[in-house]
Amino acid sequence: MNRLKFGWGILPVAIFLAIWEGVSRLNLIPGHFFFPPLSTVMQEFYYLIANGVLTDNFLRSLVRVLIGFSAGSVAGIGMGIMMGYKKTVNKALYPIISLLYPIPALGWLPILMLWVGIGEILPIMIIFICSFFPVIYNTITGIESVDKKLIKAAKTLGASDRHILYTVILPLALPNIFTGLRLEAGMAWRVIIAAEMVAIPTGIGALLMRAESLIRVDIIIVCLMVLSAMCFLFERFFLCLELKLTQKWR
Amino acid sequence: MAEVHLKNVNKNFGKVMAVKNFNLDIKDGEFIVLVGPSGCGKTTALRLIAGLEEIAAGDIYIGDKLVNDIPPKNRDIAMVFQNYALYPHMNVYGNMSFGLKLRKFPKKEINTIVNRTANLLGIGSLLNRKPKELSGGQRQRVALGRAIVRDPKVFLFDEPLSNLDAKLRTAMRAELLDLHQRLKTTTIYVTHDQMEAMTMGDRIVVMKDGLIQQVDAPQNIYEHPVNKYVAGFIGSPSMNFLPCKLIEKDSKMYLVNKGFSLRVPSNKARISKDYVNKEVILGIRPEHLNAKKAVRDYDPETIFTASVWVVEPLGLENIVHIKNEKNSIICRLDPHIILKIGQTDEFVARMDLAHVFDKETEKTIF
Ligand SMILES: Nc1ncnc2c1ncn2[C@@H]1O[C@H](COP(=O)(O)OP(=O)(O)OP(=O)(O)O)[C@@H](O)[C@H]1O
Ligand SMILES: [Mg+2]
Repeated sequence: MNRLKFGWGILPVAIFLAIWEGVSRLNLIPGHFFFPPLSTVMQEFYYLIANGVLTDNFLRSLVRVLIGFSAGSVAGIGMGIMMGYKKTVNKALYPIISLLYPIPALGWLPILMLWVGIGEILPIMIIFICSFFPVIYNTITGIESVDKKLIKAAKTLGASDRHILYTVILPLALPNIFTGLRLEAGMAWRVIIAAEMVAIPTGIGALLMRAESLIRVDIIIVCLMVLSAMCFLFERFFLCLELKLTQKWR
Repeated sequence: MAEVHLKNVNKNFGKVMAVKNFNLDIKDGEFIVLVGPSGCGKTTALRLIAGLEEIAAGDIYIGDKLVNDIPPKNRDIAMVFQNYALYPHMNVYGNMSFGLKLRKFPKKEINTIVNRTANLLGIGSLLNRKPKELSGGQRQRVALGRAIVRDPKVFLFDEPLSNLDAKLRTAMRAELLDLHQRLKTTTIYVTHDQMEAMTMGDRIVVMKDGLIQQVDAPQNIYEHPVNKYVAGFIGSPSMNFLPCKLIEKDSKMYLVNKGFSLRVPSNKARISKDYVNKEVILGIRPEHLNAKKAVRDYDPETIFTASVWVVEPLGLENIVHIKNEKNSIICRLDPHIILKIGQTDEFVARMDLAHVFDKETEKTIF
């Protein structure tokens, strides 16, 4: 079923690519220099991999996303659990988090540049912030949306608070937690590219900026395709994980 | 198994007194039903016993142990919730074994107990299903099973049948009673359905606004309600309440209003001496009225005339609405008695089974 859906999803993409190739080949748009055909882009893609430029920059972005995102989500889930579960912790931290949450991850860039400088720490911290706050929010929401009756029932069945947390609250909060993770996994990629474009000399974002200054539209498109693919794959990964863990009972 | 005692228990939510001065002694193995309209404090009373709410004042004993400060998990009770509160992420087996795993029973034993109980409840083949794959009745059984496997001292049921359709409800009622016969576990059962209360309870506790009105066996409550409220709450259709005046004539007592004059039986006349010439309320159940033409033996001073207004045929009986002057009265009559709508007919009241209530306090006079 899933495979079938996926198969049909390919079709519009293929048509789109064919039109792209056709339009630029036939020179339907003046100034085709700014609009290279798909085949040229794919050639460049291959070339960039072969000479290591794309691979190198991609790996740098990937490592930053993986480290920042993992650290951000682990911290976010942990803190979310504490806040969702212990009323006192929630009362103490919620106001602070509510104030920090609305600041976009990139908004932290200038101040972080001054604090930590332009090293590998900077993009990782940006990604950390980008994942941390939304994941906290979704975790708290997940925990609070667990039916109070289920918790009461567990109490009458003899469960301790800790046991209720592990066997009832967390499993039932999983869908919400995963929603947070899924959205932020894609967001992390968008943010890392933006951060690299503005402030960091390596990574896919930096490659994008360099291509722009060299007026290499084909390279720009290659970078955007990589970004799109990574967002898609990361979101898909968490969607699959979520379905695997929860679809049997939801 | 255990006795349960509530002594002067009070519970408020802010200014709302949900349970007031609650005194109740429940015997070991008894099936007791708390009944009353929505919001009267039934669920709150049950939760206080379970320990899910903290009492504001008073004492609760389970067995001979004072449990005021004992958390729910150590009270040795099992509660079945109105919407079952099954864990959606666990299958039937997981739900049923939840309490046993917590008590660190060996796996084999858990397996035996769960299987035995599931078979007892007729859900032995559903152990691998998730709650969303079950019907309402099956879920209800799983919730029941989850409570039973714990072998608690006391069962607490909060309207466990209210989500089922009428037919299933009747069947489950019988099953619950059968189960109680076998397990003999003290059971406290909450419902807002007086019929369910009548059919299930060894004793019934009728509540209103957080206060206990009456505690007694079903038949006693039906025959001897302590006040107008209980009289009206138990029985369906409800008792007819007719404002009238108590009058003494030729050393006989009569209940009189514009539509009728009915003689009070002599054995009850003495009780009501204080109320002569005062306004009172006559209470008479629909089943204690009859058409005169269907009765052979009657006291001629208990007859009144009324016009037939509506007839609701139920097969077994007809619910007949009649009117005379300002009195609007409901009777349960044999369906073979032919009554024409709009026509005036004569009716007989079983005054020996009627009640009279004080107009002010609404307490039963007899
Ligand atoms: N957690 C709460 N906070 C505030 N008020 C409450 C709370 N729980 C119950 N009440 C109030 O206490 C009173 C009794 O409620 P309770 O739930 O015990 O009624 P009930 O008899 O079970 O009614 P129902 O038949 O509708 O379930 C009501 O007035 C209700 O509004
Ligand atoms: Mg209730």
